[in-house]
Amino acid sequence: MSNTQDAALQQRLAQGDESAFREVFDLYFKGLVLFATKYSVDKEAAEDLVQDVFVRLYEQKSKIQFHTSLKSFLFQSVRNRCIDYWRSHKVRERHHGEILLTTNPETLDSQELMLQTELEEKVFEAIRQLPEQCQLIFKMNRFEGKKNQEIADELNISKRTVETQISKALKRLREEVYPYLKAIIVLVCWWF
Amino acid sequence: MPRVIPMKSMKEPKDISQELLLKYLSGTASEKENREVREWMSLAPENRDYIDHLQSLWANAQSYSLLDSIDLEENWQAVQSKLGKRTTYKKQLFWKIAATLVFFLTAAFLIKTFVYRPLEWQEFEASEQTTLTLPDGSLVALKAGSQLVYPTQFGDERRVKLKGEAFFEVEHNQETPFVVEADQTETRVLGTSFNLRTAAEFSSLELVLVEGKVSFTSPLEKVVLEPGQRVSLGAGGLLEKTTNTNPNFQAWKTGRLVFENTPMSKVFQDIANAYNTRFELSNEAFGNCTLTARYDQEGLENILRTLEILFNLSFEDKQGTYMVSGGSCQ
Repeated sequence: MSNTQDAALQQRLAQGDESAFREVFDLYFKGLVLFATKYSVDKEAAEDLVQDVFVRLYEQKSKIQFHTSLKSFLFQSVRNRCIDYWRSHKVRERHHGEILLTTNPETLDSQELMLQTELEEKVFEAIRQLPEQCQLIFKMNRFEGKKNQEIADELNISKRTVETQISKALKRLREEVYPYLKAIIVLVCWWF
Repeated sequence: MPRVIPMKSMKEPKDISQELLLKYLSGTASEKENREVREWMSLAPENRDYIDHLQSLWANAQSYSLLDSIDLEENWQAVQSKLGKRTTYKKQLFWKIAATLVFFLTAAFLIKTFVYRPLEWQEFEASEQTTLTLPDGSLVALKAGSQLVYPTQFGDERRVKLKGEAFFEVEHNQETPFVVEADQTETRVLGTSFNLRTAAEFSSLELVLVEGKVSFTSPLEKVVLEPGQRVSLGAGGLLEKTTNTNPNFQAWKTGRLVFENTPMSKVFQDIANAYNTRFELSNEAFGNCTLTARYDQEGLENILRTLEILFNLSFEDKQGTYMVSGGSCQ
C-alpha cells in the first residue's frame, strides 16, 4: 500500500465514494484484526472491535481529520480500542477475583507491532498465491507443524512430492517476500 | 500469543550477510549455509536473539492461520448490519423530528389563520345616508357625514368604531359580543338594535336602545339599558340614563318627524339632528311656542316652508346655519 494510493482512497472516502469504503475494508480489515490480537485480544473480540472502527470510519468519513494517513488512523483507532478492551477486561477479571497476567498494552510499541503485522500479511499473501496443493502442503508443514512423512501419508502422496512442493513454496515466498522482508529489516535497524 | 522481541533492542549484525539469514529463515539454505548460521548464533547471545526475532516474524504460524481464518465477507456483513442499525435509528429519529415539526407548523398555521388572524380594518365615510352590512350580517344605518371603521372579518369579538350617528341592528350571536367604540365609550351588546350618536359640535353623545339589552361603558361608569331607555353624556362627563321620550331619535334614518305640543326649541333641535344642520333663533321667546305636526319624508325645504307659513317665520341660510327671524305663536 503506497502512500499515494492511501491518500487517493482517503480522498474518495471523504467525497462519499461508497466503493472506496469497501476497498479500504478489504485492504485493511484482516491486518487490523491480526494487529489487535497482538494486544492479547482474542479473535472474536478483535473482529468485533475492528468492525466498530470501520463503522466509525464510515459514519465520520467526511469529518475525520487524517493527521497522517488513513492507515495510521485505522491502526491508531484499533490500538486505542484494544487498550480500552484490556482495561474493561482487566476490571472484569478482577471482579471474579482472578489475577490477569497480560501485559499492559500501553507499554507495547505499536509501531513495531504494525510493521510486524504488515510483514506477516505480506507472507500470508504470498502463501495464498501458491498453487492449491502446494499451499496445502505448506500450511500443513508450517502452520500445523506436521512432518513431511505425515503429510505424505495424509494426502496419499510420496514424501518426495511433499518435499518438492515445500521447497517450491519456499522458493516462491523467497521471491515474493525477500525484497520486502529485507527492506523491513534494513529499515528497522536503520532507525535504532 | 507468540513472544515478540522488540526490534528496538536489535542491532543489525555486521558479521553476517542478510541474504544468508533470510535463506536460513526460509529454509532454502544449503547444509553448509545452515552450519554457518548456527556457528554465528553460538558466537554471542545477541546473535541468538536476533535470529529468534526474525524467526518470530518469519514463521509466525499462528498469525498466518489467524489471517486464514478471518472471513472477510462475514465481517463485512457485520459492519453493514452495525451501520444499518445506526442508520435505522437515525432515520427514525429524523422522521420523528420531521413529524413533530410538521405538526407544530400546521398547528401554528391553523391558529394563525383561524384564531389570531390579524384584523384588516376598513373605513367607511357616508357622504349620504347609507346602510352597511357588516361581515356577521349586522346592519348599520349610517347618517350622512358619519364614519364607521370595521374589520373585513370579525375575530373573537365584533368590534367597530363609530364617529357620528348610526342605527345598529345587531345579529344575535351569544359567543361573540358586538362592541361599538365611540368617544371613549363602549357599547357592548349580544343581539339588539339601538341608535348611537357620538358627540358633535351641536349635539352630545346619546344612545337609545330599541330592543334587546346593551351595556354602555364610559371611562368612568357603566350602565345597562333596557329597551326604550336612553343614555347621554351629561355635564361633567357623567352618564344620564332616562326613559327615551323623543320619538324623533331615528328621524335622520326614517325621515319621519313627529311633534306633539313640542316646544319650537326642541323642534328645531330634532330637525337639525335629522338633517345635519343648525338653527339660530333671533327671537328667544318663540322657542316656547309649541308645534303639533307629522312629517314623513318631506325633505328639509318643505318642512321649513310649512313652518314659515305657520309661524310667519323667515329663514336665512348662512353657511349651513339657518338664521331664524320673526315668528309668533299661532
